Amino acid sequence: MAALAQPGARVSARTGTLEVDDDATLVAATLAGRSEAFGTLVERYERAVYNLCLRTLRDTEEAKDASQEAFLKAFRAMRTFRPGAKFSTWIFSIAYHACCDRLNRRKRYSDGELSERADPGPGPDVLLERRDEATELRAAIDALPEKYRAVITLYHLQGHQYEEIARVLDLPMGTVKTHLFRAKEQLRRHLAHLRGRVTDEVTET
Amino acid sequence: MNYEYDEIDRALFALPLEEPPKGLHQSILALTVQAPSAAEERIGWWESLALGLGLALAAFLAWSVVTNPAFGAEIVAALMTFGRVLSEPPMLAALSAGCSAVVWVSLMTFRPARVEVRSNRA
Repeated sequence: MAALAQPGARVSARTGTLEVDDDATLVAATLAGRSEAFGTLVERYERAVYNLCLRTLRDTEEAKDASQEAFLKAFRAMRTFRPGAKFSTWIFSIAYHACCDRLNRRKRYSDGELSERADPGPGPDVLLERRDEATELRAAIDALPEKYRAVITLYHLQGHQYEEIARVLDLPMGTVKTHLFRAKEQLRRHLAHLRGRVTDEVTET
Repeated sequence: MNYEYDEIDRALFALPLEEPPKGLHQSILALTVQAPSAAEERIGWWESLALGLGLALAAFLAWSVVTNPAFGAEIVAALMTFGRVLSEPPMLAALSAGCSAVVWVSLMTFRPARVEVRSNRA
């Protein structure tokens, strides 16, 4: 019960979660049966995990289900969490693999009708109305192929930690860097094209 | 204006994360730490029952062997008869057929019928 012995470990009266900085301590406390410790881990990572699932699956309902599945798997496999490993990398890896399973299932049952199932993204008229940078960038990320989308999303979530990204995706570091470079190149082209198209349409109207 | 790599990096890191749907946190907790199986049903009632029956049988056998010296020999004779019957070819054939049928049925998968997806777009 290392978490209980920690001087800084206390339960927040507002959220009912354990206020500890270190993820490893929270994992140890969860294994010791402290449910509020797992609540803190969920609170800390649910947003990032949901965003990873959303960008990978491009479907809000499926992203929600995949996030739940990831945390459930993590909770059940908590004893296998390697001491010294990063919880973020571990939970992202579980979430990413849950998404891959869903994408494979989707491909199997739809036989190439993936584009019909996935969110097609906003059309030019919507873009004219919601022409802000974040929306453009999200649309550009959604237009990337799946392997580049995952790399760019993890780069967004984890920053320049290529080794962590490689671990999550189970890819060599060189492949991650190549995918990232190509993803940025496609993003650059897509955004430039999008801006040109929207500008043309604004001029026409 | 054309995007350059530094600008893409800046835009990416400035991109706000989307809010998860309301109730996601609670539903995750309900599936994990608040699930009854996690806290209450670590040992199911049937596991306790099986354990109790096993212990009672073991105690009965031990008591029988201690109080009746011939009991051990009777048990051994019964087991020998059981083994002999099991090793007979017709019994072996029947058992193999039964086991194969069980394995075959358990390997069968029932997939849902494929749903045709039609596009509404022109």
